[in-house]
Amino acid sequence: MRTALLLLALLAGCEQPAAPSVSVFELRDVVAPRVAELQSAAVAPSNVAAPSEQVREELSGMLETLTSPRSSMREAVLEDLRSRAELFVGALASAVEDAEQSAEWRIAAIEALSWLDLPAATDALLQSLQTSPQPWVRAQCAWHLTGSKHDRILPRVLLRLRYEVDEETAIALAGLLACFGNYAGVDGVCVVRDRARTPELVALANEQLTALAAAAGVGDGEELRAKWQSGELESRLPALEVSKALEFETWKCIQALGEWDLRVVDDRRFVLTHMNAWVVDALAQTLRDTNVYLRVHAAQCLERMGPRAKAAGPQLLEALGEARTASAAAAALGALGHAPAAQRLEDALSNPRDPELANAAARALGALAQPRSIPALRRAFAPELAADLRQAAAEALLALDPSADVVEFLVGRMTAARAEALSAESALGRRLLEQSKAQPERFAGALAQWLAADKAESGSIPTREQLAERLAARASIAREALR
Amino acid sequence: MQAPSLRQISAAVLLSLGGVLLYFVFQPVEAPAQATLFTSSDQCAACHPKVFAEWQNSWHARSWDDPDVLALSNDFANTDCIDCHAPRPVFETGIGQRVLPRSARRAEGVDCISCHLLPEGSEGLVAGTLDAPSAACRPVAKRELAQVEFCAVCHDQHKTVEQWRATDYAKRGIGCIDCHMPFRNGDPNLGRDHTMHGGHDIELVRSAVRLSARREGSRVLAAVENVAAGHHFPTDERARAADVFWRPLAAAGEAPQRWRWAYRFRSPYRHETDVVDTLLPAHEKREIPIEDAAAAGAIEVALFYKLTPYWKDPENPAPELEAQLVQRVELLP
Repeated sequence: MRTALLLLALLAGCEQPAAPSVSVFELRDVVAPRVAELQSAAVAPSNVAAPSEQVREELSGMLETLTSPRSSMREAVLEDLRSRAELFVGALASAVEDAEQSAEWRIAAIEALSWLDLPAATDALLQSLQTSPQPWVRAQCAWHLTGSKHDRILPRVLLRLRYEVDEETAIALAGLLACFGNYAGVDGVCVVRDRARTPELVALANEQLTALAAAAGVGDGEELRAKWQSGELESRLPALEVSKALEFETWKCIQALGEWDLRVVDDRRFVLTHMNAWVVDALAQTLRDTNVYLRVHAAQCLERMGPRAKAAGPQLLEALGEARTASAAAAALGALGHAPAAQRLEDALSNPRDPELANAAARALGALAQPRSIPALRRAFAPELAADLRQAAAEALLALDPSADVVEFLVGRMTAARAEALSAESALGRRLLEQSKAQPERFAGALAQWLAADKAESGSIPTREQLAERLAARASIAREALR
Repeated sequence: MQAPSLRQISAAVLLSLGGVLLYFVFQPVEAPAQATLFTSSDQCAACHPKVFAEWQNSWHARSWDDPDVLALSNDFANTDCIDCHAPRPVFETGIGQRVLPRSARRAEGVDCISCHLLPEGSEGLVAGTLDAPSAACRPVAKRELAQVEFCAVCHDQHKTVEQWRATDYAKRGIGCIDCHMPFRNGDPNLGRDHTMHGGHDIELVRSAVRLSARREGSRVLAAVENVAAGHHFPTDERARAADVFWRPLAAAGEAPQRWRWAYRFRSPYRHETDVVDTLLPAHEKREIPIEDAAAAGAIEVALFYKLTPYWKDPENPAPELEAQLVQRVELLP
């Protein structure tokens, strides 16, 4: 009997110790129910009837009058158009895109649509803004949409901002966005001003920047750009009134983050990233959605919003507990500068079973740049660990504890096979630039050599050989200057 | 010798039973290989040096650091490119689903782990063509590896698989790997080539199309026919382009004139609202009229292929320097 008991005790002793309890990150359907709930607020798609020949002819006469210099008739025609607006929207939309008509005639059609300010007229202008092949048509549509009260168009205007290559239209888009308290277009206006292709464009850009800065209550365009990007502007301005229709459009954008086509996803990521900061709450809620694509892409949007998304810090910290969202959440926490995340990110560095999270955590700790993380990053830089984790840790340490071994390792990564050479190059380049600013007498020469090492013709793609040559030259410069 | 007592017999029986029980509890099962944590494709090289070497020379291995990709993705600032250029394992999200982007070992590009690693909790560790539980990587046979749906998780982002579905090849069951991952030396026993030839292999591109030219009255009609690509020519929309050029045929000893552009096969980027999609579907032939008085004499017509869409000087393109010659034909008066 004793033997049997011994045997049982032996078997019992072979059981694994109970695993420590792990808090479960609960997922639920977030996005689909929210879209369904807001559906009733949606503006029904414009169902504009194809204009009859009679309407076309009548409109043609009206547009002739609008383009004539007799202003008294002009007001009368606009009033007439407004009184029978539904009838003329379709014909006006066709007139805007009628390439056989004169510019004046088409501008008059744009002006008339703007004057009507109906949802269908707004949609017609927006359609031409998005798709017209002629830049001047897009610019006119943007100018004439400015002042619209339909904030639901904001996501579509932001999408146009992404692809707009015409400089005047980009300037006009900045003003249109600002009507909705959104200053995402200011950066583009600054680019147009600095590129200085023509004196007229520079003057127009400066005029727009001055007007936008005054409207936002800041000194100038540069200050406006900086305060928008840091989130300071939005925290100071009164909270925006967001229509249900805009909320619906925004949640539809979030829902599209789960689409198959990455171009659709990337477009929506751009739009959401450049929305006003009230979108942060919706994105933070999405971190709990059952759909992994929605979770990951919501975290990526928050990452790109950077400090503007700082309110999402606590939810992102919780999302570190969900395996497939964790690395995107870690990257976002770094971009937000969420200091309380340091401990969790340091813990993540020491988990060899999740290299995805460890790498993202190392880079996030580099972005947080807290001296407290130096020991954890040093441990992740240990020679026996994976080279890519060591590189992520080394790039983080370069700003915090730039010892010779860290510099030497990164220099080696610039020319190693299958290494993230450009990431190492970028980190060392930043370090050299900082050093050059702090001690120009010592580092300015090396920085000049570094810049000169890029031999590829401006605007052309370097060959593999040219790229290797540049990396080798810069590795040598960094080794000499920074070790 | 004294006969054993009942107590001794019982103890012996219990001990024997215990021994049997212990054996069954702790018996060595047919040694399944110890679970390995795969964190790099380098781990595959020891047992699969040939496949690994093929992959190293493939464009899958260069998907992260190729200069063209870096330029066209703005050094991956266009982050939608990362999902497929440094993907997490296909089996993690599943066939028919989009892959997710990696944050670790991105420089390995589309690697062994991307296609073969199975998610935790699967029967084996990696997907292969055979079940081999005693091998270090514990492969499990997965037919999905050979299906177009497997390649589609990335390649249909550029619509290649969608294009293929409309072809005769799809009806005949000829899929991606039949052309792009053939058996080594044509022998099924040697396994499939992991070099994955595609648009970077100019010979494969040359075999996909046929260029011809003829006269019709006062004009010349050049024609390009998609005779063997199982998708549009060129596919991988947006980034790739193929251009038809012509020029008067130089007499012996005479320097050739500059190439004159006639037509472009390409799909536009999203911002290129003024560019029309002109990709050439499989099995189709497109005639390109060349209406120029100079074409009345002897001319040569050529098809050039580009991996990136832009010319250094769009007004005066230099195809011989910036593109690869696919085919060239001469047309006499």
